[in-house]
Amino acid sequence: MSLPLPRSVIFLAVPLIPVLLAGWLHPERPDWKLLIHPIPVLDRVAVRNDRILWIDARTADEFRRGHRAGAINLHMANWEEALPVLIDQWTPERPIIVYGDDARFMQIRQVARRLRRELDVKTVSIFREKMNGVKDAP
Amino acid sequence: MKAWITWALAVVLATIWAVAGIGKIQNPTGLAETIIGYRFLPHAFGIDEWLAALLALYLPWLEIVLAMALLWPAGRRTAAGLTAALLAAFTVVVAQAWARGIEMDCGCFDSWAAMSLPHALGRNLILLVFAIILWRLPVCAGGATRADQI
Repeated sequence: MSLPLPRSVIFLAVPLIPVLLAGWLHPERPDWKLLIHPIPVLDRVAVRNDRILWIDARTADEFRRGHRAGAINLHMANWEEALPVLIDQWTPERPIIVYGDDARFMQIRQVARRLRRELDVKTVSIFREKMNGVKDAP
Repeated sequence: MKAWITWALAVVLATIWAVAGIGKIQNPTGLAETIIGYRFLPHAFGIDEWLAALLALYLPWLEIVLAMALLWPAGRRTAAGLTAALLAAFTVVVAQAWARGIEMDCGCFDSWAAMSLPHALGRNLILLVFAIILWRLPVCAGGATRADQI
């Protein structure tokens, strides 16, 4: 049993009209400029560890149980308190790398995107790894 | 099969699409993040961000068009077929994320209807069966299912 093709094509094509308008005018449309410079996702880090400003995007409890040396705990819930700490420690030559629980990749991206948007920082990357191994500093 | 069953299936599926589409249409950026969160798109060169942004703009409107088409007798069967195809794709995406241990809200509706991945998987499978039943109903001239004319 096959679909009547022309009607399928029409149903699939009709949404393209509002899509074009939404992509241009919607107040919550994707930020096309940011998409030209997507957030890099790293699986290894080539920069010396002490030059990196690590941002731990996990919850405070998870952060307390273990985190990378020198990392700052920053997530949506503690943004206002933790952001000044980050600004104190950050200098433009220090790359910011956000990491977190790989199973909650969306949280990591949220933090990275917000950092890029609010601080206008282009050197934000995401580091992907299994968090089971990240317990190198109390 | 009685006509009311056809209508009931069409109304259920149309309502789900309409609610899902209208809920998601308000925040394409958030939906794009959810799509990336499923991690089924290739992320080399930021392709995932572009595809997610385009899908986030397109999917809600497609859902609304399908909702309307399901309530139009002449377009119902086609819409049911597309609904089945779309639900099958959603089901595969949700299933792969669940199997990989990804923890997230399914993003199927607006945030008021947050649903875990296993629940979304179960619901999708039920709706997929509804859509296939509606699609496979015998067709009469004009595109309406035979049940529409009983």
